[in-house]
Amino acid sequence: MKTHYVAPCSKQSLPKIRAFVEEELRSLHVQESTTHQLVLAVDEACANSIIHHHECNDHDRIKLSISLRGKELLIELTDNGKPFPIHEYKPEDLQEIIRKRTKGGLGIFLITKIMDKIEIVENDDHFVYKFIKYI
Amino acid sequence: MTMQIAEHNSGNFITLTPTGDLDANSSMLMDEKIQNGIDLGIYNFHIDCTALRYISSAGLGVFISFMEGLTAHNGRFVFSEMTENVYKVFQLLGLEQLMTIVATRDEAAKLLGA
Repeated sequence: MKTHYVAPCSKQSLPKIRAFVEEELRSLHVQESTTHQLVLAVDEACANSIIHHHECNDHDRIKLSISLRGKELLIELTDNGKPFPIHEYKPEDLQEIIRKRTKGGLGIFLITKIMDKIEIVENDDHFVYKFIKYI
Repeated sequence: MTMQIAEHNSGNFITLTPTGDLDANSSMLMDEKIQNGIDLGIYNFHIDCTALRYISSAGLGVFISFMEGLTAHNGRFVFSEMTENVYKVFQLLGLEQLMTIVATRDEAAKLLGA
């Protein structure tokens, strides 16, 4: 079974997105420590889309879907426009981030660390990030 | 959950106690509180994490962005009372090696010269 959540592209959506993911993973009996990490990864991906892709325009929408097939948990984030190539991202060295005093650059690093596999499917008017975790 | 941050100025350091989730939505508030302390000439901060339920990279980014500036003035962040979930986020990034994290408020206060 697949469940969905559609969120306006506002930073105020983030707590609701986290609550949705937490609730769904709990209903799928995912371990609490794994749930916490997955909530974090989804929060990072959604924050990235909302802030950098949509510039917090709350008329825009992103869609989340969660499904479990056997041991493969699939979290899909559907968005429009052009995807950021998360799966090709090479994170900066943490010391370098500290030296530059930047506030960004850590979110995608966390996503790539938490997820087992990331795929991007591109269509004409939208794309889907597929985040896969083997549980 | 919206975040609130209580603050207490002990003279040579400031204790900030965030309640709730420190995420992309709320991290600006933490940024402002730290900057306000620095504007007063205080470079040591105790971050009491007792009521901090969640932290994302945006929250961590605030602390990272101030780290070098504090060090340049012989200051630092000392975190205490972290929940396991929050500590694990520090661990994922290897930040537990770079930040001072202690178990209790008393230890934090002692380290900061209370």
